[in-house]
Amino acid sequence: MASSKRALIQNVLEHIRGEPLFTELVHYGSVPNQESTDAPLPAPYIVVHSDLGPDERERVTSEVSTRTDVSISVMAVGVDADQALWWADKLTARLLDYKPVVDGWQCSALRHVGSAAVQDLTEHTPSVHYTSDDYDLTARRT
Amino acid sequence: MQFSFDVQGMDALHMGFRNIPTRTKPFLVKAVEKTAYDVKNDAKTNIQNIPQAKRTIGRLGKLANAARYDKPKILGEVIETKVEFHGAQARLIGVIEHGSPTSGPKWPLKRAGEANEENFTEGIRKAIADGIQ
Repeated sequence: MASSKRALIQNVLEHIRGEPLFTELVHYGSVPNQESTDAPLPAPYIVVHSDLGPDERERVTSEVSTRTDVSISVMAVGVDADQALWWADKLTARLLDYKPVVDGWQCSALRHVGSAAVQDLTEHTPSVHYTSDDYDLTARRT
Repeated sequence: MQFSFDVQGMDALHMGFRNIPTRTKPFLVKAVEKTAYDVKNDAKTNIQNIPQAKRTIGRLGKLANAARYDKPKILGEVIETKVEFHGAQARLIGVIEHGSPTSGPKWPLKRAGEANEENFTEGIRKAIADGIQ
């Protein structure tokens, strides 16, 4: 029985958090408000989003799905554009070519497939700047 | 936002674009254009299908209708085309594609590109077959 696809995401999250610089800053899916004041979390912080990827058959003759392509987005949020870029740069260095090792899966190295320009979010007080990078992870069931 | 299809990157071809017979090139350009057209249309549909609050539906509709693609150009070893968004709502595409601290990415363009990968490869195969007849 292959391990779940969530384990792939978990592995990447653990890899990011494995760098002490990022450990306390990483959030998955959404960003919690500050507990004491309910105000938006102060920058810097990192938000990771992902899907579970479509299940695909690599051979026409195959009766089972053998492969998935997981999309992962890593967003760096800073107090200004420069800080957002600084964190994004550190994250890219951490993730580029990282090859997850997960039971039940044979994974490719992460591929950096997209990068967004820095934007500001003025709805936040104080406003923050953010940029994100997209990675693809191909995993085959073993 | 742009998609460029690198002919060199395709394992099926095993050759540089310069080595492809001249008469085959228009077929390849046509295959790329067909994919760009399909990616543009799929991206438009993906945007229209994003569940949104009522206040943003109008803006997303305008954004979806602002999808355009460039006619492919041969630039050295690659055939390049772009799928882009024009008009007043164009700035929205970055937020929708990549997300923001308050909303996750929806990847309408990325998904459109992925959905057309197989057809693109098939189109290139057909283009080569047509080009050598």
